[in-house]
Amino acid sequence: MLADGGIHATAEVARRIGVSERLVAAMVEDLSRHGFLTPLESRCDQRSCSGCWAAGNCNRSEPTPMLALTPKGCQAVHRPR
Amino acid sequence: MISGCHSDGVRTTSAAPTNLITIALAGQPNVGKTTVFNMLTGLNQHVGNWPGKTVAQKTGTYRHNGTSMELVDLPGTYSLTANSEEERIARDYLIRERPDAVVAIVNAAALERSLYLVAELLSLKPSLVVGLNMSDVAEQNNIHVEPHVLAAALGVPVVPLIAAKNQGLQELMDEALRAATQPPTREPYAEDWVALKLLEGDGEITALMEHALPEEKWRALQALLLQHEDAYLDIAGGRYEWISRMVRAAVTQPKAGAITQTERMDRVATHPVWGLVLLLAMFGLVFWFTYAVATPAAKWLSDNVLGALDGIASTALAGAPVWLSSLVSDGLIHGVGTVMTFLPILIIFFAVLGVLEDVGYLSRGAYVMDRFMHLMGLHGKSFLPLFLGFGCNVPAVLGARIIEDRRARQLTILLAPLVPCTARLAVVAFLAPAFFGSAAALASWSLVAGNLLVLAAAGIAINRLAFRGEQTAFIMELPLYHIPNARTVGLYVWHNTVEFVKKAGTLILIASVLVWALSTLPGRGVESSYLASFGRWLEPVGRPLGLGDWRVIVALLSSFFAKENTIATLSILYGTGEGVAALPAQVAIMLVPAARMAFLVVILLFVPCLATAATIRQETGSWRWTAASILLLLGLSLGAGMVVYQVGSLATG
Repeated sequence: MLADGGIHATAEVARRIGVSERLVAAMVEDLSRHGFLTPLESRCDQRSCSGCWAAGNCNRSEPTPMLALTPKGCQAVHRPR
Repeated sequence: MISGCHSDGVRTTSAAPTNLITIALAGQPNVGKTTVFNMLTGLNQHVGNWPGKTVAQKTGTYRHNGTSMELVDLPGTYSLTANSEEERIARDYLIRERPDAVVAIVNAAALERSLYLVAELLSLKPSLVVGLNMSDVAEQNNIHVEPHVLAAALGVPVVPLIAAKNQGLQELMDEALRAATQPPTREPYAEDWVALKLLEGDGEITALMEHALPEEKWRALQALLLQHEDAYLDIAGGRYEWISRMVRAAVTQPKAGAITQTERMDRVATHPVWGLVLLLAMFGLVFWFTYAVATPAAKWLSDNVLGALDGIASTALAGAPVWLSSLVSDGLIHGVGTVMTFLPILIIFFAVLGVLEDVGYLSRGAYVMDRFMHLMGLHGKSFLPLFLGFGCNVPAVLGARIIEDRRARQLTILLAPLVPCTARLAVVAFLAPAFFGSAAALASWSLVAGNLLVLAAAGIAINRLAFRGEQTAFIMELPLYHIPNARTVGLYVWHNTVEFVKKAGTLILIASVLVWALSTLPGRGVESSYLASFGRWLEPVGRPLGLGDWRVIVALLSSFFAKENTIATLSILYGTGEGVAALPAQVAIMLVPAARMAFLVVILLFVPCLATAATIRQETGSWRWTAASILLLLGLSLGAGMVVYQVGSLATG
């Protein structure tokens, strides 16, 4: 599923593998801790936009948590199993 | 001795007896482990550091049913793999110090997260008791955990508790004492556990085994491990399967209203086809709403406020030098003032974006768009920064930081200005009603849809050039839908409006004064100005697009300062003597229908604004890439404009 790329919602992953969304969230956290996934900064924040005069135009609400496969994660999903 | 906080448990102040029973408290961070420890030990705590470490070590004594115990609060850990100092300390303590019993505190409201550590503890085979903390929070969230079922499934005692309210702690210690008095049956390193850790690639256990095993056996083991390099994922998968079984057995969770509602709505909102239809319908709705509400408000501001200001300025500056009254009237009121009149349009855009974000829809929009782009073979990493930068190109450029490969990042940055920003959309929304009358919403919607298609085509080009078709996966947690919070949306609109006003008062003002000066000098009227000479020199470029009027070309060029400057410049160059209210209509008269569409296409795809260009320079560290981005967008916008004009002219005869 992840080998095909694209965005996958935790709800969709949960449905596909037949577990609860909360379990998928726990798995995602664990994979992130082990360096298979990395959180993305999806939009302007204080750190990435420091010095940018247009930073005020960016959305200030909480960004949607999003994680990307790391090179280690890519290697793992593409490894023949 | 002082009395305890409850009848059974008594805290001790005297020195601990030598035959103390040792109980270790283990658990993930934020499960209430330290609350349990504090409740039980009270003032009888010793706080220091773990030997040779900077991590705090907390121990305390507690007397229960006449038995003294030493409680050890282990650092909060997610697992027992030596990923961090905390995990190493907890694991070394459990293996080397061999406490008489281990109490694992788990969060009943997030059992899926907590049970991973329990799975690891079970493989160490200690005398284990599980403390099911935060049972009240779980109940509040409609999560019903049956402790006896969980105990039967786990094979260890499970005690429900609410540590913060001192409920269930006595029962927990009863079980801990019972477990501690059972004869130890385990060896220091359980074989299964060592095997799992070796397969997981645990550095410490690997080193230990290398040291302990004869060389020949170690080599054979190493060869075996090399064949199972990715065993960690299988082990973790196995543990999660086990967790899933435990949770299915012991937890009942009737679906809350919000969840079922979200699922129901997501059947449409995240559907590959209907989701896209909904997204496009949303865009259409935004434009319809803008033209229904904001355009009349903008016109009212133009007619009443700017018209009145123009009148007041003319009267007040009647005796002033001509250049001064021209600067105030033509440069400031017609320039910056006209830009200010489309504040209602921007407010509507900001409000709709804020509501969609707060409701939880925008994430679905990104999700659905990615699905669409993915079908077209687009690399998610190049698409994401582009889509998430919707509203402003600067974050689109910054978002490309997620791309590790330098070439791919630079190519993505190159095309980031293709993201339709609110300023460009506002310019389109300002002109479209006069250009297309009742078809304005449909025309604007088509323009945005076309813009997104160009963005997709650009993304595919990046994919072919830089990513060679390779794909990357993303996982996103879509939030539950909820009613938007007026304060959150209000603050979003407010912050963005203030930023716009600041921009109008600085950059747009400076650019307007510059345009006014160049359109006034050397003083023989607009048609003989330096700006007119420059614009006429560029007229051959505009003719194939139907934009043969030099004023339109100059307006496009001025958008480099800020996209809103297109309107300010048009107002300065067209507005003289005509009043500011009729500006869009005046521009419409100058352009045939096909040229109007071509003009708006060029506006949407034109070169990046100054702020975006500066960010491109900052992120690429290269003037050449910045220039390449400007030239590429210039070529693309003029090319697209020409196609639209030529095809439109043929279609309209």
